[in-house]
Amino acid sequence: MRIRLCYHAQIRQAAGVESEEADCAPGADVIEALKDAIARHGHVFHGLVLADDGKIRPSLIVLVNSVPVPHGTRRSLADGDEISVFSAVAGG
Amino acid sequence: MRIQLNERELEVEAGKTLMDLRREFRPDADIVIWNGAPMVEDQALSEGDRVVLIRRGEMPDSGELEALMVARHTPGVHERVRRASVGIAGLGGLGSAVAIALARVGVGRLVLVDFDVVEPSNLNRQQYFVDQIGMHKTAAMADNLKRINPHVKCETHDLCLTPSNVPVVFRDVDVLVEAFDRSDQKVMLLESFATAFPQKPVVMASGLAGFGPGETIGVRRIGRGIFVVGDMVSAAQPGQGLMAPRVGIAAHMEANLVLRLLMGEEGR
Repeated sequence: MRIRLCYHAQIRQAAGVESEEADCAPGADVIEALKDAIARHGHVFHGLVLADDGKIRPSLIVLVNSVPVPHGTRRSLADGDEISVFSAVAGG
Repeated sequence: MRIQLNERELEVEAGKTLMDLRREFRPDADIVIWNGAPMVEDQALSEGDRVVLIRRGEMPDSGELEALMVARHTPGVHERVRRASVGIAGLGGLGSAVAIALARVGVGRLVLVDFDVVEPSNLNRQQYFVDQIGMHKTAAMADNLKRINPHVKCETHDLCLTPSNVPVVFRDVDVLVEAFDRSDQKVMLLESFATAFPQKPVVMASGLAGFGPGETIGVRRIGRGIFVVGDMVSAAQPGQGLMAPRVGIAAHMEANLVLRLLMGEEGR
């Protein structure tokens, strides 16, 4: 199946593209799609998306079709889904 | 024709002017505001005009104060925002400035949440005073807002927000403002609120540290009803602190976005 990934801010800089389409295996979830993207975009992208324990960074906002996916939940993907990722930075 | 004088309905004869009105109703008024703008020259009145006459330095009674406070608002704003409820998560540099801006705008109800107390290092950017050091931020901010606009209802919660209490504390708000310091807490708040209330907008901030150019701070919509204010990259970290000017720019952009959402000017 085919999905779309949209990158914001630092993650966009690390990926070098604003968005891209990618193929996913049927039944793949968000983490698997992001790990595929890491394989394409290298270590800076990796560091922004995944923590040392291999989980999604607590500062990363992940949306599927504009709806946030809470950390720790598995979100299966369907053909045509759009994943957006944004890395929040500290300060307030 | 019908106009509003000091926010009260009034029937006046056709052909009346601003200065006729002042002579008749408030000859000692030295500030004349017509449809949100201060006027020096006379002006013919039209149906639906809003006129405010103020005697400079005079303390109005409580009933008149609210009307006079909004005299410089764009007409139509006050009626909308006074019915609104806005949640503010965190009362630090962002949240304290957002709260004050929204109180000055006249948002009817503010739900203010913070677990911390005012301490000296807050005062470089947060809207508190030296004599409030040691006070809970919720109580200190409620006091400050009452002095600015006593017509705003403040609901305060002196607690640490978690995924389980976010939907309870903010169940009645129309818009939620994220004003946390830690990036993981920003994300937690968004996830908790958006899961419970997917139709309600969230205004977040990310990237406001240091003293980089102010014009790099902007607004980005990252999802349905999810807005982020900031330059998206300038994190608070060793060597890059948080200071009043950029924090204030971001806070007021958050507050302006809230106002636009309440006025229906910003698509969700």
